Amino acid sequence: MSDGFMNQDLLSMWKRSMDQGMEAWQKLAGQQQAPDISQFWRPMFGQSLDVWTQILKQGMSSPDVLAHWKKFLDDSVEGWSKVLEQAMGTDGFAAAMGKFLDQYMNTVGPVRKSLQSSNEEFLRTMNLPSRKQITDLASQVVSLEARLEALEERIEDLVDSISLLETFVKRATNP
Amino acid sequence: MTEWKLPMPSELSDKLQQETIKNLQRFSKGMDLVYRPREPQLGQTPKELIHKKNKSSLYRYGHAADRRHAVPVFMVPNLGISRPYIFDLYPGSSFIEYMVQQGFDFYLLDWGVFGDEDNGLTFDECVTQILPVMVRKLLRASKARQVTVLGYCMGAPLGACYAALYPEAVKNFVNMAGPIDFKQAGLFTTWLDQRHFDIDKLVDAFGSMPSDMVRVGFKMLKPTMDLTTFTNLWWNLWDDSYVEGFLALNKWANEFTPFPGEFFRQWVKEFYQQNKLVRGELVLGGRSVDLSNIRCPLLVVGAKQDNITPPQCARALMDATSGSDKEYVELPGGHISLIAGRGARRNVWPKVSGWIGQRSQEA
Repeated sequence: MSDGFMNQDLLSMWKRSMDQGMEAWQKLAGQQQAPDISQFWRPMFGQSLDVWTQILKQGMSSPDVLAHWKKFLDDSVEGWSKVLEQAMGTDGFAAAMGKFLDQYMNTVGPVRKSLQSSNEEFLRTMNLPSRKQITDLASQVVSLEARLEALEERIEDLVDSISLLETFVKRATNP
Repeated sequence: MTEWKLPMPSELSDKLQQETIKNLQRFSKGMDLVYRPREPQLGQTPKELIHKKNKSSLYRYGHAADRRHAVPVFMVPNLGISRPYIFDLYPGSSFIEYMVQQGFDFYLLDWGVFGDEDNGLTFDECVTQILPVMVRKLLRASKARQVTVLGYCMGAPLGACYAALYPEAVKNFVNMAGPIDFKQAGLFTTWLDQRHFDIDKLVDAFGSMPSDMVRVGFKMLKPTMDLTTFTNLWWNLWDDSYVEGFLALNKWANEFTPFPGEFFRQWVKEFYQQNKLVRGELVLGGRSVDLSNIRCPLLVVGAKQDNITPPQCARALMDATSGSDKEYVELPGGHISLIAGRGARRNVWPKVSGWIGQRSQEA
C-alpha cells in the first residue's frame, strides 16, 4: 500500500470519528442548530494535511517552512472565522446580544442623564454655556444656513431666467 | 513509497539566505513603523469644492482638459460608518483618480461627520433635501442635463431612492455593493431584528449612534479580521508598497463616524426591520418610493465574499427596476475590495468605468 492511500485512509477515519463525535456532542447538548464545529476543524486539518502531503510527495525542494506555516495559520483563522460567523448568525446569539445591549442601556442611560443634568447645573453656576446650549446654537446656525441656501437657489434661478430671457430678446431683435 | 528529494546544498543555502534577509527586513521595517510612525498621504487627486450644505460637501475632481464624457458621474457613498477618502486613497490606488483618468467629470458627495446638532437629520431629508440640491449644483457646474448616479454601500439605497423620486435627472444608475433587499443582508439582518434590537431605546439613550458602537458592530462581523490583517502585515513587512497600502487602508478602517440619531432610527426600522424599500412601502418627503420608476440603464456590482451586503441583497435591485438595459456582475472579493486594493483596480474599476463610458453620451 502506498503512503498516499495510507494518508487517505487515516484522513477518512479521522473525519468519520470527528463526525461521530460531533453528532454525539449535539445529541448530548440537545441542540438542533448547534454551530457545526467540524466546519472549522475539517478544512483546517484537511488543507494542512493536503499541503504537507504535497510537500512530502514533491520532496523538500524549499526550506520555506514559514510559508507553509503562514498558510496553515491563514486556514486556521479562516476556519475560526467560519465557525464564529455561524454561531453569531443564530437567533440565540442575536437575542443574547439584544439582551446585553438592553441591560447596557438600562445602566448607561440613567447614568448619562444624571451626569448631563449635574454638568449643566455646574456650568450654569459657573456662568458657562452648557453642551446643550452650544448644540442648540449650532442647530440654529444650521437652519440659518439652510435658509440662506434656499435664498441663494432662488437668486440663481432668477439669474438663469434673466439670462434665458436675454437670449430670447437678442434672438428676436437680431434674427 | 514516496521518493524523498533532498534539495541541492547551493539551492538550500540560497533559499535560507533569502529568507534570512526577508526576516531582517521585516524586523527593521517593523521597528521603523513602531518608533517612527508616519501619516499616510491620502486623497491627493486635485479637487474643487462645488457646494457645502451643513456638514456635507460636494467635490469635483480632475481638470477640465481631461474630461471626455458628456455625462458627469455623481458618487454617493455611505453616510456615517466611515470617511469617504477610501475612494481616493493614494496615487495609483485611487478609484477617483482612475475615473478621472478615464475622462469622467467626477463628483463625490462627502456627507461629513455629523454632530449632536444634526441628530434630527433623517434619511428622508438626505434624499429629498440634500441630494436634490447637490445634483442641481453639480448640473450647474458641469452644464449637463443628467447625471450618472454611482451609489456605494448605503449610498446605493440613498441614490436609488433619489433616482426613483427624481428619475428625470438620472441618466444611469450604478449600485456597487449597496443593500436593497434587507431580508438578505446577512448578519446585520439577524442582529437588527426587531424582536431583539430596540432601536428606539438606543437612539433615545444616546441621541445618536456613537462611532464606538458602529466600530463594535462592524468588527463583530468578522472578529478574526484584525488578526488576519496584522499577520499579513508582518508577512509583507519587507515590501514597501504593501506597507504603504496597509497604512492608508488601516487609517481608514479604524476611523469610524457616528450616525445622526433620527437617521439611524429610520435606517434600522424602515430598511433592516421592515424592509420597506424593496416592498414598495417606503414614503419619503410625502411621496411613495417606487423602485420601478428607475427606467434608466442599471449596473449592479456584487462582491462574492461580501458580508455587509451579500451579493443577493444588492442584486434585488435588478428585479425591482423596470428598465431594459440592466446588467449584474458578481466579482471576487469583499465589500471593501470592490473599491480599494489591487483586485479592485484589476477587476472592478475597468468594468464600472467601461459600462458608464458606453452610456455617457448626452441625448
